[in-house]
Amino acid sequence: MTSNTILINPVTRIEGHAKITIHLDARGEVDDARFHVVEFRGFEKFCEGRHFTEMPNITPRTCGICPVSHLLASAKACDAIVGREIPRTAKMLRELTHMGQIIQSHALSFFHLSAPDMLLGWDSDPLKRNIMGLVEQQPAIAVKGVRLRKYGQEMIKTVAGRKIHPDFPVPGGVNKALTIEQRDTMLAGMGEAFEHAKFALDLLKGYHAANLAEVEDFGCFDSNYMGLVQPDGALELYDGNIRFCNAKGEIIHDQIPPSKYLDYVGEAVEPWSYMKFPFIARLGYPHGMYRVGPLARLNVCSHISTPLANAELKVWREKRRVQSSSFYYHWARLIEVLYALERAKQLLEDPQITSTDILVPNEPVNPEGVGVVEAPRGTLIHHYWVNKDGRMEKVNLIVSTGHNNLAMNKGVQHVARKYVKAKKLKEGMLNRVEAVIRCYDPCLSCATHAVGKMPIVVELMDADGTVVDTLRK
Amino acid sequence: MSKTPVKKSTKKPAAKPAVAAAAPAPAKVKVATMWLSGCSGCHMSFLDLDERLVDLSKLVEILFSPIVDTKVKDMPYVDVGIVEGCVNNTDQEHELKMLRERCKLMIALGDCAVTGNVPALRNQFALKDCLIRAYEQAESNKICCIPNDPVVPKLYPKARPIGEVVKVDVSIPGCPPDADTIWFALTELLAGRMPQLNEKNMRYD
Amino acid sequence: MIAPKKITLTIDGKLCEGDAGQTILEIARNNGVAIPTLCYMKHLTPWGGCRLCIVEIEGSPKIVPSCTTPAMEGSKVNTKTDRLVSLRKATLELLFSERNHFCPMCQLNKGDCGLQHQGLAHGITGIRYPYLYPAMPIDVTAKYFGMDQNRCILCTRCVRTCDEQEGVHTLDVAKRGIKNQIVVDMNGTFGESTTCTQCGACVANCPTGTLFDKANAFRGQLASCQQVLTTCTECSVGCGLKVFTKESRVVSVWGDPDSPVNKGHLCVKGRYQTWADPRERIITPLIKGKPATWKEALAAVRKASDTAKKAERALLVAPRVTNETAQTIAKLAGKIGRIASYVGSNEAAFVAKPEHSANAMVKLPDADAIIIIGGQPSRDNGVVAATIRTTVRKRGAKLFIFLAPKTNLDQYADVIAPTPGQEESFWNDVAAKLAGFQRPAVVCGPDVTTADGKAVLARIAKMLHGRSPLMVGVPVSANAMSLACSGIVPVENVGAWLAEKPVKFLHIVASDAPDGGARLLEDAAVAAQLKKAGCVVVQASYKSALTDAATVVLPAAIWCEKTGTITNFEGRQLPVRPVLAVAGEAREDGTILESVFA
Repeated sequence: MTSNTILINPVTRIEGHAKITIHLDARGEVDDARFHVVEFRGFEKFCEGRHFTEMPNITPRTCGICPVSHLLASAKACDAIVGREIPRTAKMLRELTHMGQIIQSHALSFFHLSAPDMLLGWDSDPLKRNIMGLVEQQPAIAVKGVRLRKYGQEMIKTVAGRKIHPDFPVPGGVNKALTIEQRDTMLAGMGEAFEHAKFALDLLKGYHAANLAEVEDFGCFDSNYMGLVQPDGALELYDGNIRFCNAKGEIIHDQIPPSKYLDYVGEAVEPWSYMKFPFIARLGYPHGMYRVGPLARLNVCSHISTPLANAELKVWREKRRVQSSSFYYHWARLIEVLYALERAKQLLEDPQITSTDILVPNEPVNPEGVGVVEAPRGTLIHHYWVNKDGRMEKVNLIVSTGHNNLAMNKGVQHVARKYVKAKKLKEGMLNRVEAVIRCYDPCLSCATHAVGKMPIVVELMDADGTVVDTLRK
Repeated sequence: MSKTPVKKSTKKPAAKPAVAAAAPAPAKVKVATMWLSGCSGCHMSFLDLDERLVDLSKLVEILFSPIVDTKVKDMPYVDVGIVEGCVNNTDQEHELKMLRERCKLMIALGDCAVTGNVPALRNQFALKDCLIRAYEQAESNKICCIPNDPVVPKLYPKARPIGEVVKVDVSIPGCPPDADTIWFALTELLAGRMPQLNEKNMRYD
Repeated sequence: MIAPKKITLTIDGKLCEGDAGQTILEIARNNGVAIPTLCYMKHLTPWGGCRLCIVEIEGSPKIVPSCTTPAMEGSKVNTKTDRLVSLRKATLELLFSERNHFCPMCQLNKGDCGLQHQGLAHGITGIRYPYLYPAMPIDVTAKYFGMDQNRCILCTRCVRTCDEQEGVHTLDVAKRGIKNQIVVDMNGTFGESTTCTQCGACVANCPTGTLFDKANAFRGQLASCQQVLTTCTECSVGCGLKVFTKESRVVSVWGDPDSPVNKGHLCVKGRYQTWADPRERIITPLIKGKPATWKEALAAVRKASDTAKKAERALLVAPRVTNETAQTIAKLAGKIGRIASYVGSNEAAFVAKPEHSANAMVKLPDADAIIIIGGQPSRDNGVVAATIRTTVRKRGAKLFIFLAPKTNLDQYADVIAPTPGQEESFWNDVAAKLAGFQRPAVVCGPDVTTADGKAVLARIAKMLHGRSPLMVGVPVSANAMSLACSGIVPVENVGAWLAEKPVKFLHIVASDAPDGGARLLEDAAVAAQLKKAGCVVVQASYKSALTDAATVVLPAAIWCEKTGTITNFEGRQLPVRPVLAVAGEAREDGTILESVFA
């Protein structure tokens, strides 16, 4: 018997360009699976020479789904170079923009990208198994998803000036204050947003209950977890220190200041992917694999500081303290939407939110700065080095989805082993392997500081490279 | 594929309608979208049509796109191809040319597709230096090499806007273009007109 | 001067009137006909290089740039034919293809860029030429601004500005053809340049994001800011300012083009040091460094003031305060004690008898010889230096510098004599060189009041006898002459003045001096006196060694928060307008003084 390679090209309904290869052994069982990210743009080089004030405008062009994450991480790295504390109102406005982003990005991930599988069926007509199909077949649900995303986008537009790639945070603060009318409009729309978020949670919990066996063991494996936390260990998405915990929930490293990330995180390069492989330095590669993102954040935090989300967290943790099945990402995502709404409400109700004291001078003082935020998909790290004139000398970026690279590979292996049994390929198998990637809601634009997409082609080849079977999208 | 079961009606069959059957609905315009080397922001801006997506779904069918899960045998033949992002590597050039061949009208959506924009910033540097910085020099790297497995596509020395690779019929600049601009352009095209863009409905950022 | 003849021509079917000698563009604009431009700028020599202002004249096959073509009586001009529009689009497309014009990361994005505006207005959605993507240099070594050549369209507005407005000609165009590039000096950087004065006029006049300010990068688009006109209070020239604000902050400061004093030009102090330097602002009263309420602070101050006898009280005033503050002090003088303004070296005599040089800034460019005695305009009064440089370099005036240390004006001078002696041969030579000039101007700085200065002035005055020289006296300190008029004595040696009588209560009005009044402490005698005084009250806007040494600090309004007037060295009373609300608990100088002394 010859060994075979299955090529899934590309992975769909994710953000970015990727291929999956599945390697079968002599018996036709899955031996290995790899997740290849196939795009590269070079942000870490072409930013050199530019004035550092431009970084919050260049780096969001890494990704159009979560530009706000890059905006904020970039601005924070620049703040560290400026060496000044930004005004409280500026911090609040940045965090408010971030909450808007969490809401829209998680809504997109759930409704637009993943819900079609759950609501229309994994094996349903591929021509309809998408947001347009959802709009056609389950319009009431689709509209809720669209409107929840819209609320988040409108929040970003209102606070930051534009939905995608706003130029809003700058080194030293933000460039636009919030008016009272704008604040009131956002508060007015919150009720409906909360309803949609709760609806989505109920929908998801219903799916969990109805498909327990599948969801409990979908891309399920032990790993470490990384996320930002507040000083008391509560979930934190904008500011905070880094915490790592292991598969049992025991804390490995705690309250690490973001500027020290290099002491804890290393990256490896494999020749078969443009996306690098971060790992916990002390544990080595690849044993130091860890996951980031909603699942990881809820595993890592001790509690959530807002009541509704915290109550849902307790339900999420009912069966066990640490969730390791990749499917739990979807549920965790929706709990974070609830947190984001509650946190946004707190910020909007703070009387200082409309102050015009939003800037401090932007003179570069320190030769380097690190900015870390929890993007929707995970921890995002921007590290800049400048000279005394503010000229960018070096850039290092570790982007959220990058942290999940090892885990996504593991997930693909897990699901492939479960569903790819025979040499004959079934369309549904294809979809499920892709679906585990969708759990991670990867942002491959970010991860390789790149993007792309192609139609899926699955080819089953024998050792000579002869195509034995083909499935195309 | 699952079939919906046909229910047998227990009612009496209805009388034949007095008026002739209505004319068949006009065929939907077939659309394909792709994103090359960009950030997907233009597609996200498209999704910012929000409720207008429902209206659009009555006029167009998206047969092929990153945001839908279509699996057709080959890349479909469509009326309109919408491309975001610029051409960075061999795979993208191949896809783009394939789509150009299979669509009647091609739209370059967004600055990356029209001017090169941010990905083209690397054109001022040697490709080799970009790869070395990312995969060898970056401070967090502990295990280094330059990716070169055949499964990952080769990068071109320069990123190119799509107009320098294929013929483009309509360009919509912006980073990203506003949803309103995308709506305007699409509705004008659906009405059979070339969209006129200027400072009232266009942006370069 | 004979009034120019009037001419009439038809532009786009509209009858337009103008002066003979004016260009088609000038007349068109004066008559409300819009013609797109990029390289044209009022007050700069037209260049005609961008080719956007092209027009067709009936009867001629040629297409001409309207900014450099004199209008002809009776001609029929068309500015928007299909051919012209098509050519303009091609020009813009070529510009876009030539360099890396990426709007998303540019500081002038969203309304401040001329190229962006023209591209959008002409409906340019894509270009027909291949993009060149050249690797262009970015120079961010200047303190306040950067130059990104990726965005340059070679309109040469910066070159002409630097040459014709600041007069130093730091910028020019190098290389040939497609390799043309703006260079600093001999292809150096701004940071290394010994000619660049950092006046920033090039930044204000650059139509694209090539030259951009650092301190306000991405902090507000000028196109959507409020604009308020006010006056600079950094020196005695009193340049007109146009201040751009957004929400509660200053975004940028430009010159007021309609001010007869500076005609839109500024030096580095007015353009940048007024707002771009990071300084720690004091916005609450402080008692021994701890925040306090006004009630508490004033109570402490009045207590200390009341326990001192009048002769034991002293008020030191920074000369930059407004006329109205000076009048308030004059009104309260009886209750205060000893009062003086602290001026620069040799300024006391210079400003004590205010002699204003009426219309000097308007008349100076007409001089055919400029004689500087005892002043350093390039250090102290940047716009006067610019006027002198441009008059010498562009209008052919000759320059003579006496009794001034080495400055960047030396390279343009026919005679440079930092320490002129009494040798007759030297002075005969000077007289010979000065002969023949019909419109001489003598520009004096404070050192003219020294013995040497007086001697030089006497000699020069004798040489120029009968030729009615324009006499210009330019103090370093802003508004010092006004204070002298209000009876506030200017004092140079503050330490000595303080030591004349024992001081128990010392009130220093540093106002919004950028250094927070720290200059006073450079004199060890002053520092010693401060320690001796029982209570030191400092009225200032910015934290400094002086405010740190104070018993009580009273927060003062800064230039853009004040209301009042100053009188410049020409004698013009110029408005200081409130551009922003007073920050925090700060108050106007006059108000504070009334609370303390009334």
